[in-house]
Amino acid sequence: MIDRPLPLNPDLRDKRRYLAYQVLSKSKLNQVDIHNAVWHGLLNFLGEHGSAECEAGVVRTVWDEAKQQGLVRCNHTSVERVRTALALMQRISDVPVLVRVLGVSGTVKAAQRKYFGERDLAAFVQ
Amino acid sequence: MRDRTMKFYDLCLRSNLCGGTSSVEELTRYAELLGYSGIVVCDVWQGPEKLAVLKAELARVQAQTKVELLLGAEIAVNSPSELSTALDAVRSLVPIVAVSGGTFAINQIACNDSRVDLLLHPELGRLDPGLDEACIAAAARNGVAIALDFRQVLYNYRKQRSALLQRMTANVKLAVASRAPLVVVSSAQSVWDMRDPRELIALASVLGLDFARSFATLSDAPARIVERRTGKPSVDAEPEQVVGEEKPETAQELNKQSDDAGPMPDMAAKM
Repeated sequence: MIDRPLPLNPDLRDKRRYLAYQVLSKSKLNQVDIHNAVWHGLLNFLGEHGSAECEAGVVRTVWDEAKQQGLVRCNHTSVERVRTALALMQRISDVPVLVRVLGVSGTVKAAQRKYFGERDLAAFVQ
Repeated sequence: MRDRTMKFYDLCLRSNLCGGTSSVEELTRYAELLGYSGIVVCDVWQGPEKLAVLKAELARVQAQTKVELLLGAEIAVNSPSELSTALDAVRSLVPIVAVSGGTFAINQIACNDSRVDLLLHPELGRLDPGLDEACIAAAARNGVAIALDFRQVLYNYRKQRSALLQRMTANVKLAVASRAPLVVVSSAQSVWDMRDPRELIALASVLGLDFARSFATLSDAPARIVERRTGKPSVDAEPEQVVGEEKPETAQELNKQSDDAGPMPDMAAKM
């Protein structure tokens, strides 16, 4: 017996978007601090109801420590609002930062391939 | 992917020579990193001597970079007579003239004067948007762009930011109705206040502009101002062609290409 609901049909599923962002800062920042700051930024700008509507969230599993790059999730109608929320972050742990969105993709896998330089077997075949 | 022929301009930045904390070199380096084609480094107008120092610095840095550097002057005055005097003095010295708004009389005069290029933050420190239909119509007639100041949004929080966004949205609605030019400026005083052009476009979109108009606030509208004041065409005569992309020669080939491409992708997600 599987203890979870069946997956939805593709036409009923949410159209998600994943925004790859990069944090530029004077000094190196902690991953946890950045993730918390991104959440605060989203909640500050969109509010609790707004971020629920946007289905916004931080993808904690995808993170590039060296480049300080991460992923934020939202639905396909809220990309601009989430982008603005990220742009309005100006300090993390008292360090001035510049957050820029590198691009948007429809799946985590595609985002990892395009913006995090991850390769799969298909790349080796080519 | 971003359109390679699209040029983005930030029409108001301040260096350490005029109240900011970053040097012209640093601002230029970050502008290049973020993908700007040109930036305007503004000096708060206090006289021609101070302006000459900034002009010399811009000329020095221009030799080392591809980003177009332009000199601007920001006029911050309290009375309409002072504004008129300052405009007389500054117009012939710099390509871009911005007026710091906030007082209704100043906003009104700036909109009615074709020597002004930008009216910065007309809603600053007010309980109303700072502009009415007559002002916006005059701005449209005289080619005065209404600037949406990103820095004001960045450094205000909670109640103030909410009120500010509300007033900016009201100004955007008025400007769209009267077809007055709108631009988004970062008004950055350090490199950490600068943002990617696409992020500033997202702000314009959040304030109620549609996708094409949001893009125009950072590309077409500022490019037209730069072109008008410098006399140089801001857009390349022939668009760059991507290597490996073949141009269709016949209508049949064009139709075939569009059939192969499938349905139009979501533009917002693609950018």
